[in-house]
Amino acid sequence: MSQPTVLNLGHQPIADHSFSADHSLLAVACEDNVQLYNNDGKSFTPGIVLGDHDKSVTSIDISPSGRIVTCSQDRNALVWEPQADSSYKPTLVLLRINRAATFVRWSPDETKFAVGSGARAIAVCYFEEENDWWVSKHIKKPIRSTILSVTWHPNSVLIAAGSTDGHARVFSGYIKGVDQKPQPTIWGERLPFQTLCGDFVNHTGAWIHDVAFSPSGDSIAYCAHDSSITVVYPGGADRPPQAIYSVNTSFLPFKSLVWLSNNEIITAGHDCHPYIFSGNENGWEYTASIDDPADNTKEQSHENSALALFKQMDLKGSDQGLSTDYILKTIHQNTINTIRAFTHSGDKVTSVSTSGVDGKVVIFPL
Amino acid sequence: MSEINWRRINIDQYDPDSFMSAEELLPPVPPVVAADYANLAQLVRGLLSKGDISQALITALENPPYGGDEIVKASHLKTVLEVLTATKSSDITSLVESLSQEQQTTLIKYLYKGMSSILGQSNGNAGILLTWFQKTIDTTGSGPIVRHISDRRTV
Repeated sequence: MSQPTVLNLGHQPIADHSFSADHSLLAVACEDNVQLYNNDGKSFTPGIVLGDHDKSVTSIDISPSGRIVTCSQDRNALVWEPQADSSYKPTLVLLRINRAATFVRWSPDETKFAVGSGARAIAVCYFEEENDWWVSKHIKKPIRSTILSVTWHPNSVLIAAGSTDGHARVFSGYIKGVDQKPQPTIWGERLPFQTLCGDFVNHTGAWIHDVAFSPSGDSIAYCAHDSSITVVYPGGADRPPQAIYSVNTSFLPFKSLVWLSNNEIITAGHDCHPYIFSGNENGWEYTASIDDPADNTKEQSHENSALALFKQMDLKGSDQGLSTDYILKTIHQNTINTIRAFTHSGDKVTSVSTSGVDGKVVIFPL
Repeated sequence: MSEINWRRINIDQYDPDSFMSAEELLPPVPPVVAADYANLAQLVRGLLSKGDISQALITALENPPYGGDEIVKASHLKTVLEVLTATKSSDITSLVESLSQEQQTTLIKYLYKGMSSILGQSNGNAGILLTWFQKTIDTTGSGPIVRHISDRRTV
C-alpha cells in the first residue's frame, strides 16, 4: 500500500475541502476565505483566494465542470464561475434564510445544489435563465432543527439530510422545468417537490453529522454523535424500512462518511483517523481502521512552532527540543471534519481525502 | 428615537416553531408501567439473595425505564445500586465482559446517575461506583461515555 499524501495548509481549522474532477484544483474553506491550490501532479501551489464571504465559510463543493459553490455563516451562498483568465466570477444566490448556511452540495447532474441551514430549511437552488441568477426553493416541513448535512441521490432528484434533532430524512428536490421526470425508485414513484420519502430517527436522538446515499441510491447511511453509524434499507414507498442496522462503536463520534462501494463505508471524526465498516442487507460491522495509532510506531512529523517552543520554555524551563507528549500517533492531529472520495476504479472508491481542524488535507490510498 | 433597542429584540420569541422542547426531541421510547418495575425490583432482589449477581445485573440493566417519570427512575436506580454494591470488586471485569454492548452503555448511564445522586454518594458507595466506572471503561473503551452524553433518553 502506498503512503498517504499529506498537505499541511496552515494552522487554521479547515471546515471543508473539495477537489475538482481532474484533481488539478483543491479548494479549502478556512475561516472567511476559500483558498484555491493548483496541483501540477507533483505539488500543490497556493492559487487565488475567493474572499467575498464576510463570516466563516462552512462548506464548499466543486462541480464536475469546475464551478465552485460556497456557503457561509453570513447566510449567503456564492457560485463561482471559472473565467478564461483563470479568475472566478462570483454570483450571489438568493437563499432567503435568516440563519447560517451550514452545508452545500451540487447535484450529480450539476443543474441544482442544496444548502442546509440553521433556519430549519433546506434551500434547493437552481439557475433561472431569464433573470440570470440562482434562485432557491425551500424544503421546510417537517424540519424543525438545524440541518447539518445534505447529500444527493444519483438521480439528482432525491435529497437526504441529517439534522440536530436526530432525524435523517429523504426529500424530493424535484424542480419543475429544471428536472426530467425521474424514474421510480425504491424511495417512491411520484415525487413532487418537498415530498418526504423517508424519516429515520436515531435511537438515541443524537445529532446526525453526515448522511450519504449508497452508490446504487437504494439505501442511506448516517453517522451520529453517539459514535454510531446506521445503514437504512428502505422497504418501498409508504412501507416501513426493510432493515435498519446501527453499529455502535467504542470510538469517539464520527463527523463524516463516504460509501466506498455498496458494501463498504469509510468514516472519520473525533478519533482523527478513518474507520471502515462493511456489510449488506443482512447486517453491518466494523472491519478495519486506517492510520491506526496502535500500528503507528514512528512519531508523526510535527512543526516546531515558535509558540510551542515558548510554551515548552515557559512550562518546563527547557529549550531542549519539544516534548512530544501532545502529538497524536495519527497523521491528523485533530478532528477530521470532512472525508470525500478521491479516486474511483469502476464503481469502487480507491482513495479518499480528509480535512480537519489541524489544517491538514490528507489523501489516503485504500 | 424609540426607547426599545430593536436590534437587540429576540425575534425567536415570536416564532412558536423556533425551538423544540426536550419532550419533542426525545426519540420514541416504550411507555413505562410503574408496577412492572416494582416486580422487576423484587426479581432482582430474589436473584441477589440467591447470590446470582450476574443474572441480577443483566435483569436490572435489560430494560431501563426511559419512558418513566422521575419516581420510577429513582426507584430503578436504587435497584441497580443494590446490585452494584453487592458485587465484589474482583468480579467486576468478568461481569462487564458478560454484558451486551447496549447493557454496558446502560451501566455507564447508571454509574453517572448514581454518582450524581445522594444515595450513590453516601455509605461509601461513591468509591464502589468509581471502581465500577474504571473497570467498565477499561473493557468497553470510550463509546459508552459518548453515548451517555449524547443520548436524549435518560435513565
